[in-house]
Formats: sequence, structure tokens, C-alpha cells
Amino acid sequence: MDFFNEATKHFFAACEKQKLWLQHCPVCQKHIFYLRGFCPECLGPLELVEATGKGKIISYTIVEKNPMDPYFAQITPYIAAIVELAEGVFMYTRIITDETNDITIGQDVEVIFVKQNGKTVPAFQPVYQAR
Amino acid sequence: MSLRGKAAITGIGETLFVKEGEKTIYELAAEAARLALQDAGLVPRDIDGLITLGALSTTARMNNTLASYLGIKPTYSAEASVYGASGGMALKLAAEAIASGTARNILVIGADVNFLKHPSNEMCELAEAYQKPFIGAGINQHYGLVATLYDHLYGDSSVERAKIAVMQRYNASFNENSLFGHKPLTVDDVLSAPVICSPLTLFEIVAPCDGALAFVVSKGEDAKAITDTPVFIDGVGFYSSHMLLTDADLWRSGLVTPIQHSAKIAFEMAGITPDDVDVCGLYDCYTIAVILTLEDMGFCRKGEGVRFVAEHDLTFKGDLPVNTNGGQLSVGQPGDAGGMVNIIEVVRQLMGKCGERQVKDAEIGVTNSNGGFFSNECTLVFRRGA
Repeated sequence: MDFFNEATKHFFAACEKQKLWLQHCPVCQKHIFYLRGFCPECLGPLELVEATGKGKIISYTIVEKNPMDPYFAQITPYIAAIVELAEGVFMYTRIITDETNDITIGQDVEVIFVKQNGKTVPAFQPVYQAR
Repeated sequence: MSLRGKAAITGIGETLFVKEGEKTIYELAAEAARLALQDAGLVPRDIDGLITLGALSTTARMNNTLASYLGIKPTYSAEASVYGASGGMALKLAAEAIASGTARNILVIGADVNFLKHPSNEMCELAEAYQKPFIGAGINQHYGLVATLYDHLYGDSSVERAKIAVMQRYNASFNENSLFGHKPLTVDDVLSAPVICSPLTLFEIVAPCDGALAFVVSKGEDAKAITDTPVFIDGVGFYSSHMLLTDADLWRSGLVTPIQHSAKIAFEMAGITPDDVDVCGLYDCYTIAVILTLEDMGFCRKGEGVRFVAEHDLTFKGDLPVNTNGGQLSVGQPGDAGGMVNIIEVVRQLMGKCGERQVKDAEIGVTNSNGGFFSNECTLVFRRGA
């Protein structure tokens, strides 16, 4: 997985340092994720930027069984989600929470980093607003 | 360019579908090809084009091996590689190749062996990098994500999703060549089955199998001389909007899939509307896919798919017959050839060869094949030629 492209190698290296990197096109003024070699709209160079780590849940599913993945098969049930980051990009992620039943679409989440299979990857946890 | 009527299916063949058999993918593919050729009354030297489907259980480019194995020396050779949409795409390629004059009779073959038991070393590096470490490998999660949002936006679809599995199982009870046709299924069975990826339960998800399907596609003007039951390809449409589901437009459109585009292209080419359709073959890797396909093909509006399924009988006896052989949910899914399970049945209906489950006077049929996670969509419109 390290060799999808060079930028992806740097993305996972940054995760080890608890940093979530996106790309930004200074011409199109848009954020890009996943990481690419150039802007898919204007073909110009992209800059690496650190994400705010804030986002919201677009959708989720509780994975009870996963026969396709030996590692994730061991950690069922888990919550697989797609989150939209504040920067407007979408990311697959796990939602880490003790309150699985409270998860909702549109819920605010923030990034945390989890170690799995010897590798640090981003995950998200719910942000509960003070009432 | 409109392809309407330029090409026709003149022969079809399918092997037995089994959960795990003894035959290799090449034996299965060749057997389906032989059956399709015999159905068309042709022999290998009549064939000048060959199209195969990218398989899940091998990385071989099967068009090369099978041309040799079957004794075909083609002037056109290709492999369709848009995952589950490949069945539709391969027939679209065949119609285009024939319309352009590059071939006269093309053999289209889809085959696979149960990919859970025979994994290839195939790898998708993009998914390896940006899906697998985040939510685990696999497909089920994606359809769970789509179904959760569907229910959130448009209301609980669980009973109607179950009804789709149940109606297709009823159809399959009239189809001996199906993995599950002998096992009756009720809505309660579906609802009470183990959840795999919420909200989807076990019976809403296809089971992989071994099997192969083949079609002979011939020049339209030759078709009636070859067979008494040609089925013309009147419309073809393809649209792809993403690879990973994180890049899909559907999250921002209330779950409008690329099917809306592929169906529009195909329906316009054929000059039909949903009202003209007598029989459907809709890709059913998961129950939720059938609901979204009905909506995006225009059988009902977005968000009304649940009501549509509640109000209509989708069995072969009903007002809109869908997947009359039981679909992939009951027949089984031979890898990326799964889309052909839906297609071959529509063609068989229009040939008038469905026996007990024949839809009376079926004249226009439509199919949709879905690859990835609503990533690649291929819609076809067929017309009875006899």
C-alpha cells in the first residue's frame, strides 16, 4: 500500500506523527483527498496542508462480519463510516466510540490516530457539544 | 451514433451455477461458449470477435487463452474491465464493434470461480491505500453505507428490501439453475437473519459461485437468417463517476447514482421510456441496489423506490417483472460475470424460452449492470426480434 504513489507514502508517514495531511490546489482553491501527483482539475501542482481534523458523518454502517479482511475480521463489530472533513473532502474511516447506538448521520467528529497492524491510521470520534 | 438494431443476440449459454465445483474457469467459459454457439447454430470458424470479462479469480487476460482454446482467430479481441458492469459493457463493446464493421459475429464470455475460495493475486492499489487501512477490505461496508443514508433520507426501507429478496426467491423457485431456488424465503426470514453490515442482513447480499455465461452477438441484418429468435440491442449507455465511494457524487445528490446517466443514454438511443418496458434485469448484488436502480432508471422518482416496491409485484407474474430467474441474490454471483445473470434472463424472456416463468408477450427488456460501489453503470435496452 505504500506505493500507490509517492504522496501516499508521505501521508502515512505523517500519520505516524499524528498529523492528517490533505492536498490543496492554490489555483482552484480546493482541497484534494486522496493524495495525487497534481490537481485533477487544472493539472497544476498541489501543496500539502494539515487538516483541521474536524468533520461530520456522511453515513455509517456497523460491520458485524468481515470475511474479506483478516485484521478487521478480528475487531468486529466496528463502525465504518464516510466523513466529510471541514475542508470539504470525504474520507473512509472508523468511528471510535463506546456509544455505538448514539451514532447519527450529520454528527460532528474529530480525528484521532489509532495503531492497527503496526501502522498508525486516522480514525474519528464523536464530538459532543456542551449543552 | 445510434446503435439501434445494428446488432442482435443470436445465441445464449450458461453453465450450472454451483457454490464450489471441480471445473476450472477455462472449462466453465468454454462450456458456456459451446452452448451459446450451438444455440445460434454456429461453429467457432463463424466467429471473428471475442470479448471476455475481467475475472476475480485470475489475472489472466482470458480473451487470449479462450480464442486459442476455442479455435477462434478474431479480428476483434477485448476484455471488459469495469467490475460488475463488465457484463453490460462487454455486450456494448460487441454492438459497437459490429456496428463499426470490425467483426460480424462476436462471442462474449463471462466466467468465474468462487472468488472467496479462489482469490487471485489481483490488487487494487488505490483501495489498498485509501480503503483497506481505514475500514477494512471488502464490498459489503459500501452498500451498508449507502443503505444507511437511504433510510435516513427517505425512510426505513428494510421491509421492501426484504420483499425484493423474497420476490426474486419466488422467481428462482421456477429456475432449477439457481443456488437457492429450492429454499423458500419470507420477509421475516430476511429481517431476522444476521446483520452483516447494518442495515443489510445475510439474505440481502449475494453469494459468490462458480459459473459461466456466453452470448453470440451478430450483425443485425444477419440475425434473422441465423436464428428464429434474435434479440436486438437497441440502446447502450455507460457512465462512471468514481472509483472509491468517497469520491462519489451521490453523497451530495440525495443518492442519485450514475445509473441516471447510463439509463438516459440507453433509453434515448432505443427511443423508449420506462412505460415501454416489459421485463427488467437489474443488478442485485445487494437489495438496496435494486431500489436505487428502479429510481434512477426512472420507474419512479428518487426516494419513492420503497413505495414502488411496496405497490408493485416484481415477480414474473407481476406488473413489472424483475430478475425473473431469481437474480444474483438467488442464482449466485459468478464474480464479475454476475451482471450477465441478470442480462441472460432478459434475453431469454425476449427469445420466449423461459418456460413456466415466461412473461407473456415480452417485447422490450432493459438491464443494468453495476460495477464497484455504484461506480460503473451500464444500461442496455433489448427488443424481441421474432
